[in-house]
Amino acid sequence: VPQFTFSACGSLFDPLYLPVLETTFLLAVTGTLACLLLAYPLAYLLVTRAGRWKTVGLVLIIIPFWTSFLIRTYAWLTILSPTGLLNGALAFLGLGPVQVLNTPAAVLIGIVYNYLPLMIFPIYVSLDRLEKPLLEASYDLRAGGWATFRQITWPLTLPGVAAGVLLVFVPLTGEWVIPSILGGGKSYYLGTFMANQVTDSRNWPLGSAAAALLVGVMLIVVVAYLRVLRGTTPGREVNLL
Amino acid sequence: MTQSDFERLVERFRTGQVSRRDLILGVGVVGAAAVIAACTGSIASLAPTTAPTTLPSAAPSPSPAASPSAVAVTCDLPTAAVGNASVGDSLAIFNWAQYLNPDNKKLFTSLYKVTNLTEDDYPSNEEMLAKLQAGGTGQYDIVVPTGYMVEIMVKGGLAEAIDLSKVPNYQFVDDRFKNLPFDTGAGGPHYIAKDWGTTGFGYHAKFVSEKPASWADFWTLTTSKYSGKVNVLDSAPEVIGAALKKNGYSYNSIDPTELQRALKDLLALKPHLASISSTYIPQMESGDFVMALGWNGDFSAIKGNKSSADTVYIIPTEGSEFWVDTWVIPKDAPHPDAAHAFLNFILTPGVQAKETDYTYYASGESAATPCIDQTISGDPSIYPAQDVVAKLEAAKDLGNGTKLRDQIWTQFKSA
Repeated sequence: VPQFTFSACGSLFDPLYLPVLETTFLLAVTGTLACLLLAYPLAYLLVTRAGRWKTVGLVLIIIPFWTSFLIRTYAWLTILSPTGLLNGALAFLGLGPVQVLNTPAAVLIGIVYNYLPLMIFPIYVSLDRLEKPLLEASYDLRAGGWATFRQITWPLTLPGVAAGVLLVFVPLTGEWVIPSILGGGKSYYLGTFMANQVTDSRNWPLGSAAAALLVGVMLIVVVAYLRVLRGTTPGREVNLL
Repeated sequence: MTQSDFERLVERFRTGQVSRRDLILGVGVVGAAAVIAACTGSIASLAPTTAPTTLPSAAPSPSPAASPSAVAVTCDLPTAAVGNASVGDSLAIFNWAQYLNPDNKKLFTSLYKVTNLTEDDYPSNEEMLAKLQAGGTGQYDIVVPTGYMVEIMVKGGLAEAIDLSKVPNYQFVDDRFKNLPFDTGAGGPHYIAKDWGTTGFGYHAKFVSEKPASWADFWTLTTSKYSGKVNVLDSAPEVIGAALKKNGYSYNSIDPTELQRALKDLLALKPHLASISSTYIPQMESGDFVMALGWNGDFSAIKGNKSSADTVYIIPTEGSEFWVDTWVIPKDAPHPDAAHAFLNFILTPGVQAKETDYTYYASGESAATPCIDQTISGDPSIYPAQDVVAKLEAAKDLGNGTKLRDQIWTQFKSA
């Protein structure tokens, strides 16, 4: 066994690898944002408007989880491929074929599809537990819908949002399957990079350094999450009063 | 393919037990093929990566054994155990999934009274190595590494020298597969060639009318007429190797100037590629891709599918790579006598032929060729002509050069 050394960590910051870190970060941020933008309104609708369809809605979100993650991702291949369902439908409407598979757009679709439930559930829970009298009080004090949302609903559901962001962002930084299958391997992400280092390149030190870096970044994210959570706690105390 | 077959494939994929042979079993069902492709991708991306350099036909032949022609070769299967001594009742084999004909296994078990024959599967050379390193070498009597991994095992003291006095049928192995340079150990061979195959490219004859024959053709067509419809493997040794060969350099070059030249070609190719993926078989079958860089076994599978029977596999004129999978007895193997008996049994030409009939990979014994199903032995993508074979180079463990090639690969992938 060689001596313990940090030299691999240094070589990770070689300009050669910057694009890898950059694309990974970009993927994680856009993926998380896309999930949030879709999940919040969806959870909001489920809580406020779905009525007796609430349970049905939740079950429909969960059901795909009973199928293997891999199978579900492969299913998108048959939808997005040049001769697949999407282009078949477009051709039926008289529209030209679009190239989606093996582009960053396909990766984003795969990510939103696979990670969306992880974002919906924490937000749903925090919305569901929101004290309705607070909203009524807000309206009584002549706040409009938007002001109520901005000053009551959003801050009080922030812990749910933060939990969702955490659940999506953390695994996304190491995501390997979706870019490999739907992205056609044309972008190099940290997950792919690490897998390549420990297998083909047999450079375990560099792969380990990348993994350690990832864990470090995740620690920062988790600490940030805990701070957000603590920051909103007084609001909850007011709630109890 | 029935539903249960499909489920079995999915299950095996999930548990990581994947095989080279799944390729051939599953063709015809797109969904299943995707799963299979995934399997073969993971194997394939690792299997033929690197093994030592030599022109196969030019390999030295210091074997003391008589040449096969001096021995009468029959296709008969053995009817009795060779040697009188008992070899014990146990044998533990660690192999790629479905890479050993079950009929042969059954015959060996009954002839040699090895009632306790076990076989475990692995999906990559690296995983096999990790298991031997972590769990000790005493777990298995026989493993099946690719050439470059033999070198790693020999250097790491994980492989045992094979006692040829117990393997008389070694005489049937072609000289060009003996004493390959990846076996750096002393005291006799540490490997016996099992199968071999090549890296090249394949195309759909119904879409590509230009009849490409060289890496230069592959580059020209990909960057022009068929831009966006070509795939290359997600595996550095093969893709960098192709770019090197295109420029007339060695497949194993670690010369910075030559690698820069290769990188230039690779960067020119990148924007025109549909994808860089080792799971390209379904898209090749559906016609989404018209051309792809890959292994001969992949294209046998693609060709086996009715919708893509027009597929042509090419070993480029500039030359390319060949890889060899081998039988190795790990150090401290618990049942060395049974292991040697098994190797001797499996090298019987009739038994070898049954192996190729099952795996669709070329045997290292020409003596077995007449016994093999003619649709296989007559297929130039499995059994290429001699002048083509002469231009093949074996990939090699590049040592520190791997780092330099990894940097080239990183630039190509992140471009």
